[in-house]
Amino acid sequence: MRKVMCLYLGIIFLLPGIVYASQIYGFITSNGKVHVRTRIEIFCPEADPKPIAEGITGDDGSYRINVPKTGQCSLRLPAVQGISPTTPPSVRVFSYPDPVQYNLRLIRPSGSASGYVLERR
Amino acid sequence: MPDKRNDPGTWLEVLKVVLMPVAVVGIGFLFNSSLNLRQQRDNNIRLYTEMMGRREEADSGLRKDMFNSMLSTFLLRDPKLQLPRQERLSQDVLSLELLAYNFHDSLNIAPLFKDVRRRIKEQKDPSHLEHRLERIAKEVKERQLSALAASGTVATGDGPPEGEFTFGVDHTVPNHTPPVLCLSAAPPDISADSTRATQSERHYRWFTLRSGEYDAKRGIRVYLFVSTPIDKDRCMAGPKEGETPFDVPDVAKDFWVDLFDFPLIDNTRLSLDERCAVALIQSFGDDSSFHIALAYFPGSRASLREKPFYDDVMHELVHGHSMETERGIPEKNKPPNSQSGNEGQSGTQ
Repeated sequence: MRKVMCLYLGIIFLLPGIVYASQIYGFITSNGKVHVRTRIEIFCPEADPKPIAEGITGDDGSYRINVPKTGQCSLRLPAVQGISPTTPPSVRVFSYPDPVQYNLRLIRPSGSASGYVLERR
Repeated sequence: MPDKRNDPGTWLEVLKVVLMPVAVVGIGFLFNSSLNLRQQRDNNIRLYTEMMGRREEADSGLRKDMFNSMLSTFLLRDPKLQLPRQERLSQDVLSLELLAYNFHDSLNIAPLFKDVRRRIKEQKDPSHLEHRLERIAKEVKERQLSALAASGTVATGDGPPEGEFTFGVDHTVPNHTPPVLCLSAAPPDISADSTRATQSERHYRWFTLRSGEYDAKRGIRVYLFVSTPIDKDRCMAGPKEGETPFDVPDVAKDFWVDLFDFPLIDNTRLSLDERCAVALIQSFGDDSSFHIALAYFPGSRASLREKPFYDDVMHELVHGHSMETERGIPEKNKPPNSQSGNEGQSGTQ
């Protein structure tokens, strides 16, 4: 009986989050090739220290992340080194009620020996 | 006495006599078969055209009946029908759904959408029907934008009210503030033998798009500027120091964009029979940011409602395509197509 109650409560509390979750999707390329198996973190709002959602790019460089919040967010690639060693490459994204596509490109700017910049295509 | 049988001249004569009828028969056969083939092809084309014509006729008849019955739902209400208000609204939304999915490319249904939304908002619990209405509009816009992307360029961007819209780097002039877009009305070539405009024939334009105030009833006000056609290098390099895109203007106008404005129908005419349209795709719940699409496409892809100007058609017929590319150089003396405060982008509403 207790298990059933827990299940019901779980459905009641989790369902609205799933229903109202927004989605950000697209693909990431780097040097004209898809960027595979890369971890992605979404921070909403941008200054939030903890990621609100996480994902990973597939073998085709595509990703699809459900974001449980709408608003201005930051998409970061924590496993890639950005221009500054302490900050990973990031790009501003917007999470809307309906899914939004963000195709991104990871580039190494000319003159920079190491470090990447993430750009929206 | 020389033997005539060994004389090469005799053999040549014999050969001539034998080959002449063979050649005549062969040529006749070839001519006949080519004529037959051509006739067969013509017959096939005629049959195909006839079939297409009949199908089009039947389709038009069906669409006409469908259109009349759906439009009468909105315009001619039977006073004897005493449907509850909520029920009537559901019926209106269903009719609008049918109208939108079947006639979105030939009819401006934005006023109907706005009217139904206004009536829905008067209800106690409008959210369900309002979401359904917005979903229909979004689906139709996405269909139109994907069709336009196949023949032109569609750039999507985000921005708050009273600010700048930001777009992807593929469409933006690098290191330029405020953002300037560089777009072509032709899509990238898929193959080398593509019949569409090749790189050398293609021209580009600068676009700037800024947002103004937001009004819940009218949508978001946008300020659009479009330059005259310029070549790719100049476009990608962006305006030089001291130069602004406004030095080569084709269109400079502001208008309101709502969720129910459809790019195929409500668009802005540019020179060279081209069009551009701004579509509002979605916004945050609190309307602090808007997701928009800017489409730039040839006028031939605009809706059936928009007829080309006669002088544009005449120019196409007389001068052909080569002249069009020559006209792709900025026409500095041409006055900009400037309008202000229109509800729609075409300025006709």
